[in-house]
Amino acid sequence: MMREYVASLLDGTVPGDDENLFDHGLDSVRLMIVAERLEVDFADLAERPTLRAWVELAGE
Amino acid sequence: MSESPLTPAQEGIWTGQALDPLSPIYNAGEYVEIVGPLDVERFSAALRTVVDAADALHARFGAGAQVFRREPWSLHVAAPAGLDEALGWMRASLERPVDLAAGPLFTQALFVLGERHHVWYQQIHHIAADGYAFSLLARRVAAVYNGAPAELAPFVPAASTGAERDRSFWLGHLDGAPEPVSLAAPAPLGGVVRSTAALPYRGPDLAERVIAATASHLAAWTGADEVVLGLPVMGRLGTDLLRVPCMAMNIVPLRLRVPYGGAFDALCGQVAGVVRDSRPHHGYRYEWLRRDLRLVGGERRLFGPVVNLLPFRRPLAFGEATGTVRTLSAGPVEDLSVTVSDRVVLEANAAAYSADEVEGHLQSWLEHFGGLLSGRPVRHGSPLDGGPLPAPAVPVACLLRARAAERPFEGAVELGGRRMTYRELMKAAQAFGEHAFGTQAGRAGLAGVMLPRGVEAIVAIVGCALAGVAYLPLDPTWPKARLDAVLADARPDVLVTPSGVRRLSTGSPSGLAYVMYTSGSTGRPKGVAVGNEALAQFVAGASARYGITGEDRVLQFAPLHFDASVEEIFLTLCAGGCLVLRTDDMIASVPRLLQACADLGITVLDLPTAYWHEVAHALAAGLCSLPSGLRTVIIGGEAAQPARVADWHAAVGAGVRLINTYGPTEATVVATAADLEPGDAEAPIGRPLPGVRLAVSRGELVIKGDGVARGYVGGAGFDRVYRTGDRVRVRRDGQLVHLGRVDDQFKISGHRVDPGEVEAALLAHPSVREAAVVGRVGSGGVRHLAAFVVGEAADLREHLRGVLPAALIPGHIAYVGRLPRTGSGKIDRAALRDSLTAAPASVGGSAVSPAVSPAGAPAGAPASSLAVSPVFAAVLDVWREVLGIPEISPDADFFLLGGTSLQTIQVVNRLSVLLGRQIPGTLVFRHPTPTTLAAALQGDAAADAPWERDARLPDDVRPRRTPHAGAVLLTGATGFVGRHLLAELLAATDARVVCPVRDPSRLPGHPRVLAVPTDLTTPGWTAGLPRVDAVYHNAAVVNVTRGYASLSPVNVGATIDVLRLGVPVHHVSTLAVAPPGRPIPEDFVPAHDGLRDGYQRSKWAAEELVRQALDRGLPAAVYRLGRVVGEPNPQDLFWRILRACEQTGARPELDVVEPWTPVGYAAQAIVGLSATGATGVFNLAPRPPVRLGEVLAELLGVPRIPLPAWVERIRALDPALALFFDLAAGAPEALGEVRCERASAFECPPIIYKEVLC
Repeated sequence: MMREYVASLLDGTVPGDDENLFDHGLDSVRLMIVAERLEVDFADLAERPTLRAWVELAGE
Repeated sequence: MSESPLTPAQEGIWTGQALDPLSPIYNAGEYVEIVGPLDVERFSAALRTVVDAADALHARFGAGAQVFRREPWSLHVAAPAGLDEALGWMRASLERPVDLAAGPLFTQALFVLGERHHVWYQQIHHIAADGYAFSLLARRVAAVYNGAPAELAPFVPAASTGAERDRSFWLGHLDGAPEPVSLAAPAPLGGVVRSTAALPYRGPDLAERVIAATASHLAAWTGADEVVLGLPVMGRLGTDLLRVPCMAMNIVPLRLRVPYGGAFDALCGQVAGVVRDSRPHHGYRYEWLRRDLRLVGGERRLFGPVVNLLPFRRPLAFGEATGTVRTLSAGPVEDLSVTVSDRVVLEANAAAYSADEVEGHLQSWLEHFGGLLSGRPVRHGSPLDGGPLPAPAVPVACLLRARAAERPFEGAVELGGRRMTYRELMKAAQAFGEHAFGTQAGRAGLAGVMLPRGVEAIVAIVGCALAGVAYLPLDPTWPKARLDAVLADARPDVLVTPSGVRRLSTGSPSGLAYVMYTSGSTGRPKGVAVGNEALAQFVAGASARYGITGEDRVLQFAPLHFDASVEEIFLTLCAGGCLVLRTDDMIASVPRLLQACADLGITVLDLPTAYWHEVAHALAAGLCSLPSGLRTVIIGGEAAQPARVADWHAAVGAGVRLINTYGPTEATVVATAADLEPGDAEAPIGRPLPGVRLAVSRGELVIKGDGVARGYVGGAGFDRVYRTGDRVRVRRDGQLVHLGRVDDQFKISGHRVDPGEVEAALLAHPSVREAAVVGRVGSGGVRHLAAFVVGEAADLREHLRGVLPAALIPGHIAYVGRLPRTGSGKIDRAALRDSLTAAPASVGGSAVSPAVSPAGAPAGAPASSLAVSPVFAAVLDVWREVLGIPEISPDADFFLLGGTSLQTIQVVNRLSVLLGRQIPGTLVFRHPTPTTLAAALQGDAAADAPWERDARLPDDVRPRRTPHAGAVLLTGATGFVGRHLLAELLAATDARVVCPVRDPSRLPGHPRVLAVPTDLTTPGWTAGLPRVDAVYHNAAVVNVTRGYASLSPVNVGATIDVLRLGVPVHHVSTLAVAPPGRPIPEDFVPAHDGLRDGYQRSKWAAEELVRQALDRGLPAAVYRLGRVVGEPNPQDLFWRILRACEQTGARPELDVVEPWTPVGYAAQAIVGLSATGATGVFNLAPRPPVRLGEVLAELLGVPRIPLPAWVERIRALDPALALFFDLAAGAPEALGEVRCERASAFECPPIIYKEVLC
């Protein structure tokens, strides 16, 4: 689910679990949207910009 | 220790701080409120681990380099009484300037408010941390507290100059962009003022919407078609910097086209596109871009308001405790910043916006955003927007034909007994057109119509309209030379005169409706060519606004070559009303005119404002009354005098609509209109007509849209934009107020002077029929006003003194038979100004030689005085040296010559050495040419008196936030008033009172009184004082024989010292600072001739310093006292006179009237008013003034003798008193009526002479 959600926000391609999301068009505005949606700190998402890390953060 | 370079982000901040080393605005601070159990030791250790790992926090800076020095630091731990006290500490800490060379750059504090309540305060200079860094540090401290590693990356600063491909992207993006607009003019950095509100929108596209809404709001309120907003960017995403606490953020300029009436969604799309396209180049620093675009210094901006989108800071976990973050200060705001996180905060530069304005702007932004979200088109809905036409504009020819078809037998035009119906008018107009232009339309483009007012003229004008030919009205009474000039310029194809129609050439239709000539500033008449579409729009908009209907009978008053006639003719005939032409005898007198209007059943009267002034005057004088049928009066042509508006309303009431219109010929008759309401002290020019769009550019009104004329005959087209040269301001109610012409602004002694105000005062005199005032700079740079008056008024100066501050009283009043007028009937002020230079005139006794103000010299200083001035020479030398340019012209701009911010610091340092005084770094930014910089360094013209020169507040005086001290400073505590003030402070407040005195034994021994032995003339006397919350500055030398120089160290110098403390100041002053002979307002007064003795001069200078401090945001109040009475006071002059009378058995003839202030009342009022926090001036003399002669008579049973004889009698007894009378040249001019409104809340007992004096 996370994968699809993130893909919908980015350039359309579904990124791999450990790929750097910045290479897929992630920017600060989208980061803010994700942070609000997942209720996770913006900077935490920014520091570890991979799907795997985000799933972990969201699960906390 | 090895040096590292500064990063590009750090360089900008370093330079900004170096320009103003004492400024604390780069201190950023936030606090985390931690609720729950907190292990303070563990917290302290976690904090230490993180801070020590944050390299950037330990830097020390020199020019162009930094070293990292880990010096010991400690966490300040305290247990304040509550959060408020902690906040006081934090705010005081933010106010302390940081020395970037010595450090420390940060402050850490932990406030223990309870076992489960702690506040962690973190303050870091912006050069070491931006918002992200603060967030990173806070999260790490929590993480380490919770047992995780610090995980911070090292800070490795590298210099950089930016990539060429980024530079060329931005240069391309901004190429051709107009100057960025904002809601206020640029100002030097001040504090920050803010207003907060809830966010009206949440959604994934919040960012685009907020940016687009800000762009639309800005464009709506300025009328600009393009805006440049600033977008702060983190500058770290996808890099290692995500783990480095440091300063990295940048601001990128977003240029946006904001088309009027566009769709909000489209604008949002444009925003998204610009952000997306520019993203790869967001690393190019804005400081570099400023330099690339030569936008440094002076008042140049790279962008206007900034839109700051902040991620929400989630609460932090410290074990079981939760910490919530709150920002106290995020650094300086250059102009405006819209910050959006979970709410919207509008922050503004306090030097450019008042708190009131910021609140107003936030409200209008919210309203605008809301409107956009509900589907309102972009840029709609501001006071500058006239809104859409009620129905599409229809060409007047069609409207005329339609009216004729509807009401063929109704009256269209009347003159005398003659009446022409609509059908007759159409027939005659058609016949005229065929005769004049041939049966084929299109054989003429322009027809000159030189007919006197009459039915034939109207027929001709209507005929032109129907035939699609523009008409050029020519006044048959013009001198031949002017007529020839106009004809040669306009070259009409046809000329219509009473003797017939003459064909001059052939032409073709140009789509023009008319051409009217106004006189240009060079004197050559200019023809304004107005297109059919503009006329159609005017008719549609004005008819709607004025409400003219087919039932109306409108008087045709204006000459046909003034565009007011266009209003009368076309609005009436296109609505189907009846146009009644006036005859010459109607304007012989106002009563004649009004009688004629009554007889003719006029319902709408259109008058030039100058004539209407006469009407209002006559009505108020009861010479006549308005006809009962009249329902609307429209005025325009010059500023409506508020006095006449008041006259009108007093006489007429609100039953007749009074519409004040404004509009240059170039904008097609009228652009804005206002219904003038009773009780409105200004006479606003109102709101734009439907279809009219305005813009305000640096205070100047610009008119845009289809209503703008095509252009001047033979000149370039206006392209639907016309700069009016008029200054306006937008009131809170959305109406515009006319402030004068752009070229009319004038300053005397730093106070802005509006000649219009003086004219209004002159016109208020019953014998003055017309008046005009111009500003002039005389020899020696002396600035004065010159008035030209039509009318006989012997007591004019006295009249003015009763109404105007001294600085506004014209130095030169000339009585003339008539005022020169321009072609459009306006007063020709330029001609008046020129007439003053033509021949030397006498100004109140002193000769004034022709003033030469060569372009480039600052107003007020003739160029010759600068050319030899050593300061000017020094400036040129230093610039040559620093810039390495051998030839520097006096008006060259430092930054356009290539000077950098760093070089301004070099200039400032060298000039400081040369001139022997510290020069503020920002001076070069504000005055970037040698001429203006030299003038600023020299101060105003040499004509300034010493007390005016001393009354300049040093730059380092500014408001400071200090923690609550529970104490106040009272100077002069042992004096007459001081003793009473001290007693009142002890009785009415809980504060401790710190009293700097020379002799502490003279103070009461009260536990709350803290005596500080010192002298106010000792340099640095304030350094040893304990902290205080406010100052009651009462100390002054009250000696009426000593000169200014001997009094100024205490009266002026000590005032600066107390202002420098930066806390609210309550300044005790005297009514003697006010100019005599006129009412004394509860307001500051500019310097004036009545400041005769040293005491008056020094107390004036002190008030002026307090005024400037108030301007800078320091809360201050001034309490002016009269002669203070209440107990025998051996120092007081009057008491000494009394004693001398008693001892010599005689009293003098003393014809002096003066206000008195009982001392008990003074103390109560001062302390009481100070508790309200009110600022400004209070006059504490609510009782009627006292006649000194009467007092002497009442109290003394001794005979009265002439003053000179009495002085001789007392000379041996009191030589100083005799000397006082020797020095006083005659009786002093009496002070005027004391306006005592604000202070009258306090009860003042009646003054019983026996009680107060004996």
